[in-house]
Amino acid sequence: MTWSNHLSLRGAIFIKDTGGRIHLALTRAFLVRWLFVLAIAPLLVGGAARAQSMPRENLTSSASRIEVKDETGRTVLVPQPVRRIVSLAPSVTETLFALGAGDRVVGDTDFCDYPPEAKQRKHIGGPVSPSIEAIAALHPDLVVATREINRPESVHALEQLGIAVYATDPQAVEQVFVSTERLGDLLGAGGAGRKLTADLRRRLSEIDLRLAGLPAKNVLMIVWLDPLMSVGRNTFLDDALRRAGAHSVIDSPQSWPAIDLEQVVRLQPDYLIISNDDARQVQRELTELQERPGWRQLEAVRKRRFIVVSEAMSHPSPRLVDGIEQLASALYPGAFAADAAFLGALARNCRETVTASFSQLFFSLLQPDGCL
Amino acid sequence: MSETTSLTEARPAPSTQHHPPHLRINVEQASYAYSARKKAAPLFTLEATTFQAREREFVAILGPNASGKSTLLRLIAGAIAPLSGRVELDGFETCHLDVRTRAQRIAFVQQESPLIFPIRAGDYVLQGRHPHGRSLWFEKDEDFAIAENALAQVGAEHLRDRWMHEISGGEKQRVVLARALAQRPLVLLLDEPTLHLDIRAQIDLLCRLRRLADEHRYTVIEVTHDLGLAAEFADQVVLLHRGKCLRVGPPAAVYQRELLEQVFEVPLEVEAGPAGRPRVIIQGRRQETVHPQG
Amino acid sequence: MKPLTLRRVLWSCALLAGVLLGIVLLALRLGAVPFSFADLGQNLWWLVSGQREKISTDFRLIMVDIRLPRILLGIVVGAALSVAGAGFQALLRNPLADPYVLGVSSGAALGAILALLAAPTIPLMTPAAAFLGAAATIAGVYFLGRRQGQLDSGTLLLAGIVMASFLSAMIMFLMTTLASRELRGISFWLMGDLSTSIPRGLLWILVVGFLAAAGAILTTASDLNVLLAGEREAMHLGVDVTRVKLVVYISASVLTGLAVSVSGAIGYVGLLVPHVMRMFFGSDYRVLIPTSALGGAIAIVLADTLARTLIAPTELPVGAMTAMAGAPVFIYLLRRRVA
Repeated sequence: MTWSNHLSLRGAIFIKDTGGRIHLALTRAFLVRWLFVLAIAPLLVGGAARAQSMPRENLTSSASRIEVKDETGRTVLVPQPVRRIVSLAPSVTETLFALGAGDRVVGDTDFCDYPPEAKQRKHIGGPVSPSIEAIAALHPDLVVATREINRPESVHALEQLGIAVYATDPQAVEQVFVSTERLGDLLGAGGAGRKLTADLRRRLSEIDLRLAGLPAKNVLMIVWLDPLMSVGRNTFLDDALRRAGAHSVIDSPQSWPAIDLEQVVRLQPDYLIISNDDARQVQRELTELQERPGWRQLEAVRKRRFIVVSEAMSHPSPRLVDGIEQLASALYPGAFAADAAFLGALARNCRETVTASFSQLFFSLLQPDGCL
Repeated sequence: MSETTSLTEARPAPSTQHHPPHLRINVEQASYAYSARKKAAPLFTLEATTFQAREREFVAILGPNASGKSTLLRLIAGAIAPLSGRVELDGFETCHLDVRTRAQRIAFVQQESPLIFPIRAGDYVLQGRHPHGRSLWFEKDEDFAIAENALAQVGAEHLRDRWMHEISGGEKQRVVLARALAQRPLVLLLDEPTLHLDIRAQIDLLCRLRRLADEHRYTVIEVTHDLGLAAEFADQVVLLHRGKCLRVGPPAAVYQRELLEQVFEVPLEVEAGPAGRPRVIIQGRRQETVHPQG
Repeated sequence: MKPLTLRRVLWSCALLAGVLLGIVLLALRLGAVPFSFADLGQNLWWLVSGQREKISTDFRLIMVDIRLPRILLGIVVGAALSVAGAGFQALLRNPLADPYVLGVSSGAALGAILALLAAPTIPLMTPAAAFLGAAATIAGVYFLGRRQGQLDSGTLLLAGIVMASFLSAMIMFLMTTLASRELRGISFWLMGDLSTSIPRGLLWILVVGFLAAAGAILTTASDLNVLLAGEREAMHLGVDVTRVKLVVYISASVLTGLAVSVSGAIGYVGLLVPHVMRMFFGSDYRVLIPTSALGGAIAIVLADTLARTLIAPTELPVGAMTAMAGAPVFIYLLRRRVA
């Protein structure tokens, strides 16, 4: 019996058709088929492997590297000097600009909008899913990330390409300052860093002074409405509230705990705090809140004791202190009313952080003085 | 219809018969029992059964429901192993053969053919060649020819390109039989093949089986509860009742009125029919007038 | 009725391989950092001809270190999921079966979460733990899905669904009660995400694992065709049903585990690609397995390219793209076929 024309594969082994011998030829055909199909892949992968085995040239222009430990305990080899920085979080961008290193920032996230110059830097995506390609194409000397917002996968991916990634992880207000100083040292802007933090510390101690002896006010910080989320104990936000004389009624080990309205009603905070720069959205949310059945049980809602602070408060950056000041003066107007200089400085800071319409709106709605 | 004339003809004598036909299936005191769980009391027992089937022979395993017919058939197919006794095909115990070798020699036509994905009749019949292939094989011209031939043997060549779920019950049964024939087996086992067919299709199928058995030396073993058809077509009848084999023999020997009444639990009459085959008349209700059928 | 021949299978595969090559070239060209075809062609030529010095740094960085591994990963993952889907559809005799119906992806997700909690800084921990989770689920469902000593399709399906639900509930519990910082990325993983870069060695392990498992399923392809007509019937047609079911179960589960442990649970691919391939190339598993592999590779690379470029530079997870595109494509094909 002759071979059938089905297996007319060039180069296949033709075997006389006798029962079990078919198996052998087919095994070969099977292998050939797979090789045929995957012929491209080994070529490319092999080429890639060869490329990989090339000595990796320094992607950066810096000659030397120093070894530092970042705030998550990783060891990072940072090239010196650092000329090109990519930021992976808005708070980092703010800090970098505040340190005077703004012109060295070559890329930041889509959400980095403060200071306004940050919007003009090349965007590399969102903090949670940045484009590794885009970052790599910028040839950064250093990428600065945060443990809070960024994913470990992004950090690993960048490490694998030989890009230095420094992660910050401030969990209290004082740690924000230390973090800023260390970053400043790393960037060769140590002097600017210390000057900045000295100023910030001074302002904070001012507040401490004014609030000395006054009992802390119970507040609920609303991070998100649906589902209802607040801040947990070990976050910098909780610490910032404390520094502003507020005591968050929520006691939870989680960072952003989802909480029960019933629980809140039981705890009856004196004030509700929302951190948002968008006046209209806040207006909508607050009006809606007052309509909701469960919320009316809160005294704070009935008496309209809302405090809106700018988003500066929720970023672990130098502007955090602005937010703390705002909050403190809103909670204890009496302690700050007499100080014209302070109020003046506050107004100046506020003007930078808040739009005029916003402050006008809230002048009429909430407190008669200060911007909130 | 040429099939009707063959009903009244005697079974044609084989052209050459130098020696008795070859013994194919040998069932020797085979028994089986199964229970819902291991170590629980058996739900059903098939007691020791003995019979033999030769080539060209048409055997009917006859009995009412739950008499153990399907169990016996599965024993013959080698799908289950007997608790005691032996079931042999050409001297080899069927349950000890590996699945592929068994499938090359025994073809089994089930009662129901569930089909999940649509398939054409031609491809369905081609599956019958599977036992003769190997892993990673493609059908050869020879296989296509055999499948085509099988369809012709059952008179269903015109159904080749039709979808299985679109053809009628009788046509489907023929295609299923064609698949069994494509296996080129020695033995054809059929589990109640005429169950869902109309009378014409039933006769048609059985006539074909009869002819195929003669022409290709198949051994055909059919499970049925149809007394009349079994009498007409079978060479040998195995009568089962509640797991016991009551009698084995040609229809004339097995169809005794008292025996059949005991097994089927209905009043009936047995008379001699043409070609030495018995004819069964179901009485229905004893009190009513008897309608004699001549 | 066109008989299935080896030549037809090879031509079908060649056609799909050609399409895949085209999509790969497109994927290499597109991205947050643009390259022109001329650049691409020239650099690729330098790459394969060994003239590495001429390759620009950017090209090597973007193409070779970032895009190419990602594309290769997409190819393997897509092929693995599709072959697993086709296998499960045969094993469970259910056209709605997909690779995740037996809970493998939930087990892998649980493994990944535990890894993220325990050791977020070790990059290899997550895929390894995810695969272990998948393996544990495979074993668990196997023992639950047995009936009288062998795998029973109905029982297996039920066991898998129960396992999947239970594991999902545990995952939800963990996600809501534990500190949310480490688990931020898990939602990406649950949706399916190819952006995690994996070491080269792991990619080779994936390729080898895929070839072994898919090859095993391919050897049972003609048995699967017969198995689909019914288990008893298949046995009478010479199929060793117990062995075939076990081989397909383990191979398809391993394929799913491999894919899911590196890329998360990318949905719809395992379910739809085999059906689309059936429409074009027929239901015979001897052609369905290889074409599903290639079809899945095409689907994932295409989806991933879209995910990377749609709102660049932000990256969408691949699973979002397959979910968005999967259903309409299938409806369109279905209607065309019926019409």
